Amino acid sequence: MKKSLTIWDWCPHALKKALLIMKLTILLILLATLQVSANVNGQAKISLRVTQVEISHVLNSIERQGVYRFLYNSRLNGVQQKVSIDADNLDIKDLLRKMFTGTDLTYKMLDNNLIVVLSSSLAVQDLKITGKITGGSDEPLSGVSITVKGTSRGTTTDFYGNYSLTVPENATLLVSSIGFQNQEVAVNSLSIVNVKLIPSSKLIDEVVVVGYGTQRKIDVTGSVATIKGDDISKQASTNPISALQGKVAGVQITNSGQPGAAPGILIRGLGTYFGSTGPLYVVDGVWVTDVSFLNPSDIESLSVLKDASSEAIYGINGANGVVVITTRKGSKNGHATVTYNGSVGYQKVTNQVKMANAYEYAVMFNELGRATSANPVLLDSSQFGTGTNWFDQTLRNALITNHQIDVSGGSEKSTYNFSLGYLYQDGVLKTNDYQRYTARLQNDIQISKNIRVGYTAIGSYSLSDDAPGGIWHEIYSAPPVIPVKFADGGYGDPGYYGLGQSVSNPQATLDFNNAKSKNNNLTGGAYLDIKFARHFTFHTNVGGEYIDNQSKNYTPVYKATSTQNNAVSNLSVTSYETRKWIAENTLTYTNVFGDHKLTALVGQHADYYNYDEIHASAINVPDATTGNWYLGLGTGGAGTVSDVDPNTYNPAYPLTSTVSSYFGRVNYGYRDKYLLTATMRGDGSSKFVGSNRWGYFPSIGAAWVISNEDFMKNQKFFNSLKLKGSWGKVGNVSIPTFVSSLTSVSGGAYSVIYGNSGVISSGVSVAALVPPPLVWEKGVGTDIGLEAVTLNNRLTIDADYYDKKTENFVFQVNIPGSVGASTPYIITNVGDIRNRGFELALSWKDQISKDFSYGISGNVSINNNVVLTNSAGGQKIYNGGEGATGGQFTTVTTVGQPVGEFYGYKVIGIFQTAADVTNYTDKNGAQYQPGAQPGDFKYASTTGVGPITGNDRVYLGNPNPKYTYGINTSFAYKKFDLSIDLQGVADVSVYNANKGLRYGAENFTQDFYEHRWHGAGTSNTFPSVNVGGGTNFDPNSWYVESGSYFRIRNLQLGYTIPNATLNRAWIQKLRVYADLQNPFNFFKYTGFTPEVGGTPGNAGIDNNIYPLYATYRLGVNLTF
Amino acid sequence: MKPNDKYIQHILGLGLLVSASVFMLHGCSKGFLNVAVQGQQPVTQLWQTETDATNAVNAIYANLRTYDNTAFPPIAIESLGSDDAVKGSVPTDATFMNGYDNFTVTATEGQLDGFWQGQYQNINFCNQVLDSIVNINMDASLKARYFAEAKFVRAYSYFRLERAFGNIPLVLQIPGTAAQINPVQSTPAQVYAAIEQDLSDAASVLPQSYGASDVGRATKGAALALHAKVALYEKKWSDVVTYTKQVMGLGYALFPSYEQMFRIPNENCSESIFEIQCNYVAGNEGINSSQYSQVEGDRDVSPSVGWGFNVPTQDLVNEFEAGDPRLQATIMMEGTTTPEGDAVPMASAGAPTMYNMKSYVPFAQAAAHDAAGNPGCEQNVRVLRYADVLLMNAEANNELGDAADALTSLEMVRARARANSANPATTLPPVTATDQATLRTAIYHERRVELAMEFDRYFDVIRQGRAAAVFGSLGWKPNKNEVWPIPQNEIDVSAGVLKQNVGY
Repeated sequence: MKKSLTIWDWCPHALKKALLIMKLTILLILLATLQVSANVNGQAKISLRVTQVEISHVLNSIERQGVYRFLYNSRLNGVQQKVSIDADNLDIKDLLRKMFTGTDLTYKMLDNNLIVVLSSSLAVQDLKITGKITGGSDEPLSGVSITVKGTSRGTTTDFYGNYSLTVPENATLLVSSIGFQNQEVAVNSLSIVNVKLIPSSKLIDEVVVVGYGTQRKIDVTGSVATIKGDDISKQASTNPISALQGKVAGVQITNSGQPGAAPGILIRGLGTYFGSTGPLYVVDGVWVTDVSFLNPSDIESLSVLKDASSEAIYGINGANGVVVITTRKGSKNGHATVTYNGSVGYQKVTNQVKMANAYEYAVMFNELGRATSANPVLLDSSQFGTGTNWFDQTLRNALITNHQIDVSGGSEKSTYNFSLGYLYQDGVLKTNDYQRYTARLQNDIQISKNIRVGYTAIGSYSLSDDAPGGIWHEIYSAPPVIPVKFADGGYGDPGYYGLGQSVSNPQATLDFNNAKSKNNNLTGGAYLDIKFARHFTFHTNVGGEYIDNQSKNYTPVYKATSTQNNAVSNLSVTSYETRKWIAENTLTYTNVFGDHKLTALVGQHADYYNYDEIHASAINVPDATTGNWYLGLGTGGAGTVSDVDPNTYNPAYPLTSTVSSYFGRVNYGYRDKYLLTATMRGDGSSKFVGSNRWGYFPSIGAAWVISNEDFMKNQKFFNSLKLKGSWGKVGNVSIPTFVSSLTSVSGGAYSVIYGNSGVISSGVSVAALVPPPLVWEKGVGTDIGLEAVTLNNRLTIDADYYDKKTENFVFQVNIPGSVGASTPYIITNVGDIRNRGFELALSWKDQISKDFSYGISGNVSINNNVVLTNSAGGQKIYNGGEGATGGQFTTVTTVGQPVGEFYGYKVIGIFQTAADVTNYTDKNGAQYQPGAQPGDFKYASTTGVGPITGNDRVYLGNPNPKYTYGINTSFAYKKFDLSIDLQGVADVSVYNANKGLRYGAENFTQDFYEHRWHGAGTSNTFPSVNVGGGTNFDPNSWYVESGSYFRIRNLQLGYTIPNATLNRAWIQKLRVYADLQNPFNFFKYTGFTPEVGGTPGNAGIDNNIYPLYATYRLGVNLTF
Repeated sequence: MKPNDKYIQHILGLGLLVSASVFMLHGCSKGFLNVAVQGQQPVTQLWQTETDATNAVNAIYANLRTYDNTAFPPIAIESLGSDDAVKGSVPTDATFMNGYDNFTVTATEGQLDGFWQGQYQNINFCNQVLDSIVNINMDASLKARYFAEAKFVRAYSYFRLERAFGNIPLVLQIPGTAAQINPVQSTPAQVYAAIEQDLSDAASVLPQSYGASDVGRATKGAALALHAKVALYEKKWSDVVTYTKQVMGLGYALFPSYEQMFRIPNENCSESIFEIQCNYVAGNEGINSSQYSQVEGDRDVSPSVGWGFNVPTQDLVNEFEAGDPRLQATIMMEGTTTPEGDAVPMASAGAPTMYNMKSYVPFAQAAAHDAAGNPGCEQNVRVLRYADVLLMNAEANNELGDAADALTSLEMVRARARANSANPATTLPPVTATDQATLRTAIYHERRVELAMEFDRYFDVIRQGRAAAVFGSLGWKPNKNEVWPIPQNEIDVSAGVLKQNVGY
């Protein structure tokens, strides 16, 4: 723009006119788009000194100061007049008044510091104008009403958003359309007036991103929740999904404290058991299963498709919900906007568990020795004080810093957005560090009136110093009696005190842990839009994802303690690679026939996925203090390279799968009152064989916008009221590849050397059961919802009832050990799961005065998860073996109960004496627990027959929360802004496996020390220290605790520094803030955090969980 | 806008259109959804050639090394119940194993299921061979031998299961139908009949020995020796005599040095009848999988060679006659030096003072193999050896009233030990009693010391009907502890098809 002005004088007249029109059009568009970059309203003072300069040039100079923009017709005589100005900190109005004195120029201030310069003397004459009206995403708007202000003259736009109208030269146009803010535009003698409308701030009128397109929220018949990018990026969360916690009704997020880890996400409950339970993410058209590579600041908007009818257009992948993410785009405002966001802070674990101190530990160790051995090893408890607090020793206040710079801009023809981000996060565990670099380039180019292309490229590179496996349980169990280091400098050794193999010195583990991983991720896509034959749009997009991950783990030769040592160094390197492409073509037809509005879409989709793993190892690799290790430096010939996971020997890689799909959708609307959406999708997947290959996923949705009915015209109570209902079927393809093919086992574990021949004889055989052919797992869901806006657009209500059934859910079914399979389960279709629930979201926004506005929104969801049928012969499906010492099943999934419910014995007390044990008998005198000792758990018998067996187990609690809720508030007072977000879950259980996973001399919590049984009458609720012995470690109700929690999720106070104070014209906005994440947590659970997560069947089992932390940050947002 | 840009943009647009079309066509092509199985051999390609048959048999032997076959589960099920061994390690370590020492174990304890699954995995590999190589066009005699090898291992695994659990499902083919996948329990008689059938079949086909590259495969002698042991458990005394006599005619000989017989260089020696073949190959974690030596190794040695479980009792020490060299060869005591020159460290606080010498691998060698495997992973597990056959022969002959033959066999075992002793003139004098009861006691004693820590004592005492007397003080109760409980996980998974053993 500036450039065209400097060459102004050399331009021929016709071009001048064209450029002028262009300029004015763009300036008009600015009206609509420059909200963010120029929303400081006209209080800036101007300082200017010119002598005999044309008024137009003066105006340019003022524009360059960055606050005001002028709109005028260069044909105005007055603007060529030369003036002299000597202004020092003058108000703009005074300056203009002064400058226009002696001309026939006058001015009019519009919003956003836009000033229209007019001639007061020009004759009023009629003018034929044409133009185009577009919406928030530059989409043409049809049926928009355009009237000349103060007259009844007017017209509406056609399908392409075009209109023509004869108006007085100085007329003002009134442009209005449902879902957009009304706009007044001065014609100003122009012959072309294009207007970009701003979407209405009324929630229900927003345009939302849905599958394969956008829709006005009022037209949506399904259940779609939209979150703005700003609400995600303002939080301390480094993962965009993590930031959704408590923000969206029906979306349950389970965060992990591990730097770089993706949180767990469930949309409307657990609807699948095997494979991924998370949603499909569609990032600018590219389908991915994890968005950890995304910098939260790059997100423009995020839509959660929650009901089956919205998801059904994604067919095969929609069953667990769909999250459609649009990344930021440049604006057409003609100049570059640069923003910088930076923050620095630290993280600290919350609710640190208090472990027993050294003295207490010694007392309990001795008790355990006496309880389990006639000839125990005893510690002299008097010699110990508080000892080592291993959590204090290994945890830290960890630094986190995040920087992002974003450049965006563009012109009518093309827009761009480029960003760079850097995140450095220390884990709360010492040595566990994480760094992430992100880069994104986005470009849209309008090739011609009807053709548009664009692309997005997102790159991310992360580096991590990984935590040792099992470290959390190790710290939890580490005996406080051992010092970090002995006086002689050697590591404190559990062996020195005879504490056994099961405990260690966590500091030594950390010191000799050399696990590093790096991850490269490149995701991107390109699209092409062609509009033709008035009603058609052809859209094609091709995208892909490439992930390259490498982890190195080096074990040096060391001797730290009697159990932590290594004689031969070992380096293992694992490389994971994901390659994926996706290609989609859609054709959209849109037309309006009188009162009828129709949009039809047909499309085709194909994708290819390939995943590969390579494991390599070498021994005798020298220790490189620089932190780099190379396989080639190891002992020649000693290394291995394998495409089989050495821990499981199964499965082997690569894994390739393909999908080919066809789909269609029809949207029909009648006078914006009755709306209908129907979709159909057919997917073929290489994972299914034979006649089961193709799955078909129909859906239908309808809505009635009651507020648009004539009988509602005269009421003022509801600004908008809509009733909607939908039904749909969705598929789930997140099952393992090649599951239907019976494959063989091979490799070292199945190979043998006969005698001392040294010759490896390879073994290959079949260690599995022939799996039955799989059929599609399908979700069938119904949704009934109400959306209302009331109380003068201040209160928005969204209520939904849903009932979703997953049919033929794919499950890993344990098979009898007598089959002899090396994997003791098969993957098969088992039965139906239902999630039924209710969601309510309320949002209140109000502006109390010019200086004070606030908003409060709250959401609550109730979900009931239940297994409806089980076709596996009524067999209960057991799982959760990781929760108990001997691998006993801790969860069961069975008809009438939720998925993965905790299962075990009900504790009714503690045996106080040997007589208690003897006297605990059934009616025939058979002892219930003949092997029990005083201090052991006393279990309830449900069968009434002694002894207690597996048949006496009962359901102990549900790991799937019934209630999830969030309250999000924001307050703005003058230049201050404050937001407080609260969040919680209720009616949920956690299995505190840490209390029972004992193999020897593990430490106990202080809580246990204080409450433990240690002699008749000392406790009837806590067992003796022999928790790991007898049947005490069997899954039972003592380990099951309430997982309900409530927390202050986010607390942020910001201050926008006034430009006047800054006195830096180039700064558009500078805001500083302080932010607290998870500062206060309220729960009864006795572990670190009840936010435990886990895969279905193992969910809610707290074993080696990376604890959550609070983050305290200071940050700055700068726009210039 | 320069015209060039326009061309570039048009080309860009066209390129996208073309590539989208290409991908679309690709996606629509018929073969696109047919992705061949990768990384693994599909079973449809298996069972075609002689190599496939060979590989499948190799897998059977490899699987005998698993943790469930050689480590904690067998210690728990086959050793700790006896008066020879206790849990070991330090008192607070792995207290869940105490239930096997004091007979308080319940069905949910994990070693039960581990042992169960470990044995059935062996059985599955055997069934794979028996069912699947039938149709392979290959050398007929080799095929017959492979069948026989599979039957031997299947019988061995069923024998271990039978004496551990009593009432077990009998799976003799690859399960197909729902009822086969979730079978009911057979009676002990049915299981023993199946074991005997397999062993008879195997013995009639298997060779007496193999060339160097096949040493360790099941032999005729192994099938006969195991058959004798099975008959011993069934108290079929004359069968025991028949099978042991056949073995005694096959050329086996007691290895001159009792202690050296258990060392790695003497694996598969003249006395060996069947061993689980374990090896170390640098970097090959699959081959180096046996933890047999590690779990029983001395926990006080540094660098680490073991965890120190399954340790001998003083009661066992007391059982040895004065000067019996087998004591030092069976029990590694703190403060001593092994014949290989390793100084056995004094036990740290709470740690065992004695370890199973029979699983011992010289410390430096064991530790060196910790990096990509387990310490001592090359130590073979001795399953059947000639001395056992001789003692079975002695026991059965005595039960049949043939004291002379009994004494002959017994004396062979004692004579070797005597020859190893420091003072052969006075140590381990020949047994001369011919009274059946006295001789029985002498044979029982000999069996205990000769085969100590070799996982036979516990079930020997039970089959001899003396468990209540011998183990009663440890907590053993008749009509219950003859067998361990059926694993609760298995009962759960079977949806109640499997029934728990009486008393659990």
